[in-house]
Amino acid sequence: MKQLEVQGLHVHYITDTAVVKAVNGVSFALDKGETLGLVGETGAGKTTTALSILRLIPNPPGKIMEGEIFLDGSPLLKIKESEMRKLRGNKIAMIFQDPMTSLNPVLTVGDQIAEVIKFHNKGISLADAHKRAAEMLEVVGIEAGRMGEYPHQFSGGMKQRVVIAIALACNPDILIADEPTTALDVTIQAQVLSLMKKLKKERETTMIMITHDLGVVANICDKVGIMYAGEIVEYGTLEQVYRNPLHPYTKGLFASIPDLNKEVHRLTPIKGLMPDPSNLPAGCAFCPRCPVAEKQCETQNPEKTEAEEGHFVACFCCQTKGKSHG
Amino acid sequence: METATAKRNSQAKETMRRFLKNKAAVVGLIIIILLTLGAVFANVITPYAFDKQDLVHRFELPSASHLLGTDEFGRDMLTRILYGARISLFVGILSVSVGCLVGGALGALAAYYGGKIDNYIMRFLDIWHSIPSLLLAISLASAMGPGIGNAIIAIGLTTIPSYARVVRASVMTVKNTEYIEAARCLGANAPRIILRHIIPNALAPIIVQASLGVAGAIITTASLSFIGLGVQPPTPEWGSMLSKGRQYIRNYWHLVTFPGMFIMITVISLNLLGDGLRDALDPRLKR
Amino acid sequence: MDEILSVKDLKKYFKTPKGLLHAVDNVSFSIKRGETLGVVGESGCGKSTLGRTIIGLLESSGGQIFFDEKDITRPSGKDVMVLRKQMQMIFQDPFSSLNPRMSVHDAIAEGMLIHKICSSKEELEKKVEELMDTVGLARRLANSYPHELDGGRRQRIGIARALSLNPSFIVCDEPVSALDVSIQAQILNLMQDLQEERKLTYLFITHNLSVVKHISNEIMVMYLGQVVEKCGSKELFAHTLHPYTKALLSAIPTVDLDDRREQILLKGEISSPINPKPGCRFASRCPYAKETCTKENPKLKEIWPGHFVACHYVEEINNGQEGEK
Repeated sequence: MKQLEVQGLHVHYITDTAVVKAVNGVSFALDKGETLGLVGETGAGKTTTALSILRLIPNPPGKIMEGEIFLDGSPLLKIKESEMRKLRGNKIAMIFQDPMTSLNPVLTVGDQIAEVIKFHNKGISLADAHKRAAEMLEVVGIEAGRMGEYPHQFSGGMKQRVVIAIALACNPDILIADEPTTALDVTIQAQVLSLMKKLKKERETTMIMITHDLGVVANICDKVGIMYAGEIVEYGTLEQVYRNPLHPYTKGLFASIPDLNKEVHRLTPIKGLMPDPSNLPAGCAFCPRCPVAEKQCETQNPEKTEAEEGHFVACFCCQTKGKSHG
Repeated sequence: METATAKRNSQAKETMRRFLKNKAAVVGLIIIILLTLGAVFANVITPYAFDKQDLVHRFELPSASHLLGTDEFGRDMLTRILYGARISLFVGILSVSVGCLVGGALGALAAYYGGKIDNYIMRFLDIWHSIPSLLLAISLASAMGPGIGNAIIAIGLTTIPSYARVVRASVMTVKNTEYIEAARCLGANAPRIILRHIIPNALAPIIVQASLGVAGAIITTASLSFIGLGVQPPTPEWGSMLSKGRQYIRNYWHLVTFPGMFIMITVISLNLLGDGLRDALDPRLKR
Repeated sequence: MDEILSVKDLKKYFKTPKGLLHAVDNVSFSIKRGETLGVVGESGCGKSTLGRTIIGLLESSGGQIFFDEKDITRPSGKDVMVLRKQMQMIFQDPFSSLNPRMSVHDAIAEGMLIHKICSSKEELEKKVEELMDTVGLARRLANSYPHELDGGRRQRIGIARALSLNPSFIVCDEPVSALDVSIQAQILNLMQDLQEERKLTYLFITHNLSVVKHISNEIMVMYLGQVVEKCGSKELFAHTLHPYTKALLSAIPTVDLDDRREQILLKGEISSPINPKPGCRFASRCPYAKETCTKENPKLKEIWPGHFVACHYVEEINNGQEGEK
């Protein structure tokens, strides 16, 4: 049994004037201890997917239209809100992008960690909760002596460590990290990433890493899902997707980033813009920007096909290729 | 420069279009226009004179001959309210304009230049603010002598600090944005930056404050009139009608209700108008 | 001389309640006409302050700036207006660098109106349209407002606005950091094209080393207000000498799966540039720091022709590498 399974997830934001189709049929499954990188540009539906797993989509306007999410085999979308609240932070935890705003400025760091511990461990004494909080700080590399300090006394990288400590305080099975290092400097990012790598190894935490940085994914993830306009257009192991990108969008992404190890005079950007999610094209959403688009792409949305074992691509180019090879 | 005006015209059209789409704001505008017309043509609309006493028909309830009844001297309430609108609307709007313009300018200067200038202006206004505003208005009005004009100036001056604070706060946030830096980079001078880049983006809270301020000004006028420093009787004015009628509130409800209602209607309409104006001036809300 | 801009011992200090903040401390460099100098560093290293001081948005606390061999450190009011036409800036955040109440047309026309460049309305319209074509904005967007456009298009407006006065030198402050990768590549290509067409000189400020390598001829690495390493773009990546630059380079997560170099993890974080202690500012995080480093601030020395490094022990640290060479 997979630890986390998302099947055919559709999430729409319904406003008076438009229906924003943020997530359109996202499916993936993760084994214990695996790390999935969800990569995509602004508006690709990465964060919405993550929030759906935690059932934190603001409703209204957001609504999960279709799909199932299973945690250890039990359907998450069907349980009561009160039960869901117990799972959040305890079984599934989330780290948000901006460490500056995800900490409460008027509570000490130690109190904030202890609060989470107390909430999920009924009956634990305040002293024990604080002891656990101190241990957590040490785990993320902050002296326990700084427990009594307030968030503004910490630097950006330190704050993100505190956020990680809060997320890991109850030893969750699944950790969802939404752009955890985007707001940090590179040398600090390197510190935080290596800490996360170490922790997930030690604790065998399953992780979903949401990012737009293909480099970060290569650094920390086992599996990769490339998202575009609310769909996972390519999915596979890190090796499969990075060494043999098949979807034209994935290829375009790799060509867009200047690589330190290669010398290119001009970059090859993907032409055009991301489609408006309230007005998606009829066929493949990437079709208007695709360099290899054909007639059928305009009207039909390609199904995900398995190009090699465990490597899924949603593009007609691979279907035909697959047939001719097979 | 021609281009700028031509362009601004089309922007004005755009603003107008957005304003007209807002039903509530249009209603507010219509009511204000009706009140203004009523005030201007008061002598044509009613057959009575505002100071004509009719002691036989004192405290009459609303009827066909006196639509809103009569007061303690038998004067027609509707007539007095219409004539009173001349004073009240005039005083309310003008004194708010005085406060807004002077306070706004001081606040904008303080925020834009910062440092010592900010400190001097704001500390002075703090002292100004610490004097109870009614007391200040009374002393100003008594120093300048009674009369509507002086009342307007006195009331306007007392509201300066609150407008200055609102403007200063919103200018401060706008001032530190990158588009102000970009404008400086292009060579824009201080007046251009303040007028074209800062004020339009800092306008919203001022409009709200001003539309609420009108009510306050009408009431303060009443207080001034009450001690003989504002409007001289028998000239009617909403605020003083309200305070005079208060003593009869137990037996003759209509003496306070109607002036009060007109103040309320005016304030609500100005508020709707202000909100609509604020939204119409903001292209981000274009739909 | 073909140096369009040269800066000598430029200083910019800010007074803060805690003391004097040394945002830019004794920075010297020059840029050749038509080339790009990349300035790299982490937040708080003074790179943005450097750009703003050069362009005149901030007044320098010391040192000199020469533009076209003319001292522009303290320009007169008349000179400022001339300089505005020659030096422009592209800002980081395409969301906050545009006035939300000005249409695309107005934003681009603003500079030309201020300098009264166009004699008639028609001429202005034509110029604005030309600029929109140049930066790849559809003409129908002229009456749109920034909030209706995406980040890439907004950044194109920012570029058009900078170009409107036909400058020869542009300070680019993190122009692509706020953009998505596919859009980032579009904007970088546009900037390169413009540079070639108009012989522009760029001072390109960024924290992204891959971007800076791609676009720059020379790179200057800054740490806490000082230059720690400066050399040709390729040279910097081929022969990294300063320990900070080494750590910075190794910290970038690369997409190349075969490139699993060992990461140099720096301890601690960037310290505060308020009242800095004597000695090398990187010493507290440097894996090679010795006693001298905490006492004496290293000067920028030319180690190899054109390769400047500010480190006391640069030869010692890079022994192996020099042997290779």
